[in-house]
Amino acid sequence: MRSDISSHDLARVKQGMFLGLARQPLAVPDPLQALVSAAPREPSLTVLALAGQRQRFQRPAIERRADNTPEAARRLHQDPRPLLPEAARRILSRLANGVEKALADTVVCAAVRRVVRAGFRPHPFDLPRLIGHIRNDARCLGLAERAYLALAETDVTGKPDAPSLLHAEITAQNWTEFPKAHRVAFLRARRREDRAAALALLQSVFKSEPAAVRADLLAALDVGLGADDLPFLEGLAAERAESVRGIASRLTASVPGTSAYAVRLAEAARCFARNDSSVSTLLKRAGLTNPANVVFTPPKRANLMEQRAALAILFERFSVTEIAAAASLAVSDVIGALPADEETVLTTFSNRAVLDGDEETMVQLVMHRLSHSDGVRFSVGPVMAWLGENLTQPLSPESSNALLRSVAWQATLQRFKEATTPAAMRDDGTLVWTAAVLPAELLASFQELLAPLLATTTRSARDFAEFVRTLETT
Amino acid sequence: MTETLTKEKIEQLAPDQASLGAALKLMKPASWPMLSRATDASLLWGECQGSGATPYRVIVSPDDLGYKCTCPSRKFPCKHVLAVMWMHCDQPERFEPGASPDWVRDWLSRRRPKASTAPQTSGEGDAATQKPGASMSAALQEAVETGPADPKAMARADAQRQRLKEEREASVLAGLDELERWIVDQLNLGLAGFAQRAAQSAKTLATRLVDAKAPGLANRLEMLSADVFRVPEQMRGDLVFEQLAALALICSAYRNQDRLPPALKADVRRTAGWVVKREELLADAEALRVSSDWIVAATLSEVQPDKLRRIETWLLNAAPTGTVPRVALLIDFVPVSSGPASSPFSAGEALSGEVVFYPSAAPLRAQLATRAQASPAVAWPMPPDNLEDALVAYEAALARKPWLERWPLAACGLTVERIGAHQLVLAAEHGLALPLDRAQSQDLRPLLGIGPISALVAWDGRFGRLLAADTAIGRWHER
Repeated sequence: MRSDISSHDLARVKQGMFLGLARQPLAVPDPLQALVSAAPREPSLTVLALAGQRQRFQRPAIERRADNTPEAARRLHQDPRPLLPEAARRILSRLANGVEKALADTVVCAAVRRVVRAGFRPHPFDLPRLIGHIRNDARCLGLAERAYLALAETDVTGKPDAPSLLHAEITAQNWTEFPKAHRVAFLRARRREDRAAALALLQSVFKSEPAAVRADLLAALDVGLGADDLPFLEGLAAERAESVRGIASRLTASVPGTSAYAVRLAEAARCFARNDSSVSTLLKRAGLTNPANVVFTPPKRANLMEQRAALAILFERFSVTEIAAAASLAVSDVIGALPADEETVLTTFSNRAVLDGDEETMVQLVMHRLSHSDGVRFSVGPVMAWLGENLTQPLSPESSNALLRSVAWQATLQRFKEATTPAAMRDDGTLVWTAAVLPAELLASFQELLAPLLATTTRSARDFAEFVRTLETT
Repeated sequence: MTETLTKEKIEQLAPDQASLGAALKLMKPASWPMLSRATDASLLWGECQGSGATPYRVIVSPDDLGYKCTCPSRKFPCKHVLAVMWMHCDQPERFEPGASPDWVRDWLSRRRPKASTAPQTSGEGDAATQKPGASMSAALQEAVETGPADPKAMARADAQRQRLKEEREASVLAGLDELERWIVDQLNLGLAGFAQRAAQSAKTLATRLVDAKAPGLANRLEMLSADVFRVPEQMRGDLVFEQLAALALICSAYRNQDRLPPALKADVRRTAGWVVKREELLADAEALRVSSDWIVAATLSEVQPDKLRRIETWLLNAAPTGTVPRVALLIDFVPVSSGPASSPFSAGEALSGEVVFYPSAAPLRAQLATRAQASPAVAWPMPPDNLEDALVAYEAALARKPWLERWPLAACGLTVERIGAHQLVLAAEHGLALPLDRAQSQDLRPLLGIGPISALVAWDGRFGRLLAADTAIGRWHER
């Protein structure tokens, strides 16, 4: 049959059928005349059946270039890091598929960061499912992941491969070729290592960047801000972009060593003071003050909203260490004096601890919240998520045990035990993030702690714990 | 063990008398290709061959009467679970002690702890939770009463079946008349505008074909109206042309089925909607049987227009290097209304067993007849390094079964490449390339730049759907 109907005949038959046989009567190809006459049915059906079958034997014509492999695809497989071992890979997939949607991005990022810290990279075959979760976290994106993103980008835009793909890692020489999020993270990391070098790096490219990039890069100077940044920041008073001017002015006001800064610091430090009055003694006896007898007295304002606003301005960018030094107190005394529901100052201290990479203070702040909060109404999940997001190392065994014994954590565990509705049974992040921050040696006992709870509540936490333990043993 | 799992407790657990009756019918050995228990008998599991291509997986924890079954039943526990429990009481020797497979371990790791999950099993339990009247002896009695039927009744039933069959034959032929008239109408109107009127026009006729007891054709027609929009616009005309041609061929073949070779006759009847029951297939001495180690290459799930979820499990056998491996396709249909369902197998899994193929001019669809205990990892077969030969095999299959929808191609020495901005192709070294389904583009991206790979593709003549690939960095599976 293949040789019976020529391409020309086939094209003519198709043309008639596409236009409509009512408009263009069927021209039966000569080789089919006999078959059509012999068939006891409508001729167009016989012709359709045979011509259609003839067409099914045509092979698709694909024009190939000599090399159709995009550079990004090559890079995807040139990443020198070893692939995540199969056992851990399976659990990572299970975790990514099973975790609550609301927690998925952050939890998967945390798991992938563990993979990266262990010296591995996710298997390329898993990237289509993982990339949506990790694409905005520069810490998760090595060469292979960036290459995969570039491949995906090319699929959408048709643009050629991104230049950053040519580099295995971001350095001072190539950092301008990377996406903005990577550059900001790189600049912050450089500031922690060498403040002056990072400032010089920023200055060298500042003028050539668009306003949106300038603003974000400038904001990265908040790490290790000092008096030597002032000339650059003050020079930005004439900056055209309002967003950049705003950031420059905020940073200028926060530079240590200026008189305004000193006045503000002294005022903030005065909020923390030892109190030896009889009232304090009574409170202390009643267990309502911290052992060091330091009390926190915020500036008086008409209402809570105004007080919070005043505190935010007063404490902006201060670290707990700075306040402790100014008030001649220990860091633990300052933290201990803060009421557990004092959100504004705790948040300010927390943010600054993250900027400084001060993980010890981060842990202290979280422990303070968990140990002094009213466990009944305190939501542990977001606090644990914040800690998990920002810690680069697992908690120490001592901190871990304190965490698991804390009032708020125990209360949450009890709530899960007594849960009767699907919403209450759902892990709000408390358990899975606990698994994410605990050291590997405590995960087995943590899993035992979860045993009395429903499997649906603990699934992600158990998967995370098993994932970390598997990763540690490979 | 039997201290906890007693017949009384099974009766209490049974949702109704009918479930116990159904469980009793399931207790014959043929229904259970696999029955195992943990060495301490703390766990029982088995695979029950239901009406589908793939067996249901059943797990029972006798200690706390926890259970799990992959069947779509809405009765809890279902007849499969009850059957396992009952068999364990009556015929514990049927359970082979062994190590629990992955799917059992997975269930164990995810299940609720004993204390909170054990159902009410106390004899003095809340009366409201007791199932009234479910009794094993009643089920046994019922089975005895429905024993051998009387020959006259059987003859009457046979005659009735024959009459219904003849009525259906006439009805299907009438349906084919309507289908042919509709195709001629489409040709007169012109195929260029088919896509716009396809949905409504095809739906009306599909309803009539269902009434004419040709559900296979109805489904094919409804799929066409959806498939038209799955291909690029410039290919729609050709797709409609070929699919309507295939329908015209099916009509012609069905009318002339007595002149067709038996395998093709079986094909055309199944295509129209006649069902070959699993028992009939397994009893067919002529059916092609292949015993081998198999790799679950891919598991696919798609909701059909008739509101059935079609679950496909593609098996690839471990053929010797350089030979074309055999591919078997197990298909299960589950009502969408019964909730989410997926293949009981997971892609990448290896199994050992006998597969029986439905009679066909191009055998592909099959049933898993027997299954041995989980096999160790099966090596990926190394098919010939020749995509051209694979395509020739497809064309031969197409010649044997002209309305062939998809055919598996296996070849090695291939690469996934990108042509233009969006189209991925599976390319052979010597220049031949097959376009891959665009719906897979995202999942296939990581295969770009890896090469050469050994691949299994479901090819429909226009696009290939990559089912599995063996690569330098591991196996890739469609799931």
